[in-house]
Amino acid sequence: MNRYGGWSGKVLHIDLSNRRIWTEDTVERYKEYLGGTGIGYKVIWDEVPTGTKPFDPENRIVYAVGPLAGTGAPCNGRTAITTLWPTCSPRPLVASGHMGGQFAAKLKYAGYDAIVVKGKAAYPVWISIVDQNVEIQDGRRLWGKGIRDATMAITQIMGTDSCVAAIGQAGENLVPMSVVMNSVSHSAGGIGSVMGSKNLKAIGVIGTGSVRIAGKKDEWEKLIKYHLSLLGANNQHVVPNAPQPWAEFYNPATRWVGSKGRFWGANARPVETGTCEPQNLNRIAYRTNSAAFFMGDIAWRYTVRGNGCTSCPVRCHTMIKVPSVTAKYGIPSVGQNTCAGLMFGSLFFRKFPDGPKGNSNLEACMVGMHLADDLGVWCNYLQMQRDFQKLYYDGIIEKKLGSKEFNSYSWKKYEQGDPSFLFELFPRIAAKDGELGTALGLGTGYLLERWSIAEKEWGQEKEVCYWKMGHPKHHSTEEAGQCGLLINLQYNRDAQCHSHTNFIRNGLPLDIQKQLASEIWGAPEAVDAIGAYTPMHPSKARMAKWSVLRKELHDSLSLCNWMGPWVASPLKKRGYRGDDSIESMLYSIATGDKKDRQELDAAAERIFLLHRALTIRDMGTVEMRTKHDTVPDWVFKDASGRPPFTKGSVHMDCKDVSLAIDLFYDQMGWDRATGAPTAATYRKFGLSSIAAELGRRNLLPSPKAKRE
Amino acid sequence: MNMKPSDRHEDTDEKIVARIRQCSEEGRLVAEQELRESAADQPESFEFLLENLLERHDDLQALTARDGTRRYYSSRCMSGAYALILLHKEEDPLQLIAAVVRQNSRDYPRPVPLDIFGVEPFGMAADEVSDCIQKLAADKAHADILVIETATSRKFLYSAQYLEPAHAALLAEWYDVGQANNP
Repeated sequence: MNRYGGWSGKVLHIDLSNRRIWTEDTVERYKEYLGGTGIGYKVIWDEVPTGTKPFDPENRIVYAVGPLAGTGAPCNGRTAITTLWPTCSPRPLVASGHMGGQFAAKLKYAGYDAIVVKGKAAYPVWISIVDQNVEIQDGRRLWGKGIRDATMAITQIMGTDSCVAAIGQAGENLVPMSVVMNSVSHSAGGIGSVMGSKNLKAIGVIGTGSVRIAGKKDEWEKLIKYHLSLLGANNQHVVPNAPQPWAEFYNPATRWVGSKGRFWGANARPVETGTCEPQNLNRIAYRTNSAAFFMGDIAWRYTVRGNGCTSCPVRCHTMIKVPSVTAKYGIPSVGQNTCAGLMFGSLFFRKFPDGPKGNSNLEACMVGMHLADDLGVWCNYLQMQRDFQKLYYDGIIEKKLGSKEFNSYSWKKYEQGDPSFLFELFPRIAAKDGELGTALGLGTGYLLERWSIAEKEWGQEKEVCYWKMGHPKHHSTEEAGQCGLLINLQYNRDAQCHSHTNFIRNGLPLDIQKQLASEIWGAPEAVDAIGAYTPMHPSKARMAKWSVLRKELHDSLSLCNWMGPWVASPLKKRGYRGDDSIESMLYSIATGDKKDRQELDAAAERIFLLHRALTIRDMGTVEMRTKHDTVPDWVFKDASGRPPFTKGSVHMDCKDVSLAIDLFYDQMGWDRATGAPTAATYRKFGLSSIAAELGRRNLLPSPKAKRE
Repeated sequence: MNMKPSDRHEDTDEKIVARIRQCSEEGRLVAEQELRESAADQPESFEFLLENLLERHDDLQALTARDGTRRYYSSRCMSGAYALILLHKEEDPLQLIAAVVRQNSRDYPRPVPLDIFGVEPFGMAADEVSDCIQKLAADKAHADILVIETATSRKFLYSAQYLEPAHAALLAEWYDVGQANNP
């Protein structure tokens, strides 16, 4: 009997090769790793031998949630999916994708904290989970269907209480740039083809149970209300984007776009979003309209409402209805998504006939969402779109394709910004049809290799945004100086960390941000104004460490790192402070395992160390500083030739970056020379066995190599 | 029913306080003259009465316009910043734009997109904004207010007193294009 609240108590294991299904106790084996990516990294470390490839049956897919999933904690809808990453080049390494939606909660209600899938089914299957009844079902009649049809078919079998996570044709065809998706629009990139390699079309879940909260009901409810009171809009932007009567500040750049006079115009009865005073907790959902933020004011008239994940009041997946696209393109008039998903189609184009935020852009977004979210194509944080533009306009596509294939695309349509061009491109990516479709589906790293383009060349232009190992930057130096750079060194895919950017873009004036930064990271120098960066300071390294650990903590608890952390708030009476302890308070009351902020951060550090250890083990080298934590050339370039730290520039200084890396390694207890954690650091976080294993493989830094 | 003088005062006080709060809820300032109408039975002590009310009610705030007249609002539902925008708008839209641009350049720091002046509470027509920009450009007292245009032809204003041109240009590009392309 699980004595803790929060966790459901069981990890479900499924071996598709021999159709074996069993469970193990979550708390007994994984409590120190919390859940989510913590369980994912642990399973990969324990069960997947070095040298395994993503599509090998021995690879695992770990769909894991945390102790806060399915509770009343705000923004708890995230499922972390960890596996060997198929677009990580030149060799696959561990990484995770994250989907929101309703899957995480349903899994908990069914009684599971994670599903670990290994092996390969003899023919296409899907997994049906109805509480303790887990069955491997024949999926042959679903194979070949898009995500929507497959989801519909399984829902008709299981009932509308089910949540289905499915892959599309891209995943079936082992296109590395593919997703798994649940709840219409909530996807995790990179995972689709790994599921496809196991002949696994989908997982459907019905859970009729609940998640037990260990603490007292009134304490829990009080905490939830407190947490809600700290929430801003999407990405924890705490300042509205236009003056509001109640607000001391406004910032046209934030995602808090709700306001008096702005309506969800396509709702059956248009709804005014209104002034959304922070104290009105029932109006949080009206603050955000991702479509209006990304597509411009034109989107208001097409907005139906916000949609989103379990227990998240922010509703960042904006539902829009554009009737004209049905007649014009033959696609559904309603679509929903957020951020990169919304712009999936439009960002392939360099220009539109009616400007960047006109009707053509809107239609391209609708067509892109329809195709990508049904075929299950992944964008790699929009790198596919940036690659495509560069490849085309640099003449590379024409060179690499035979004339027959090149001429089979309507390039004039493309140049004119005609969204119907996407119907020529997307299905070919999903089907690996032709050279272009196949190459784009590989992801940047393997595309460059296939077309004999040096990775270094791709890292020359800031606008291309390429970082390393087949992946782009994700909130790096352009907006967060050295802190952003340090975060972007760490992962084996794009960093997906929002801890730092959600603070930097929160909309507050710089002096208030610096005040809060002093309190959290020890000095106001931790944050700079965007484009006015200052030399490295120890507080920037502390902020970078905090950011990464909060990301891992959120990914392990199932909190959304796209919405949190919540260290700033819209509340003037709190001096715009949020609360850096909200996660530990939620964790402690939910589970009954009392941990303060530092103790829970230590658990996050253990998880992140395990990620580092896995990377070292599977790269087979301790030389992380030179072979993994690399920086593309564009980071150091300025077109005007200005020196670093000139106001209005975002480029970095080589020596300063070297110092930044030194200080970050110091913060982490990693060896400065190699960037590898020391044995003492592993031991400090309870990872002695990891240290021993790496020691046996000669993958611990030599004490002699350490330089002061 | 006959009321005692003290009851009448209390009744007037309540009316004035309620009026100020009501106007703030509606998103507008209330002028002294408008309040005076609520206290028509004691005009000789009106200034004293208002001062007294401001002392007794923490949320009631006063702003003095350039002509010396006062405007009132309640901080329960209106911020000082919002109230100042309303006052400047009433007084002189050109000064409003200049003040907003300088404050934004100094405090955030950031350039301000021209289109913000079209939304409430600014609520200015495009030609009115355009007229103000031309006047600002011709006025030496506002020589620090400059216009920049992004790659998408969106215009921003900034104050060179607080923001260097290159920094303003980078930020405008970032807010207009960069941020959305780096979601």
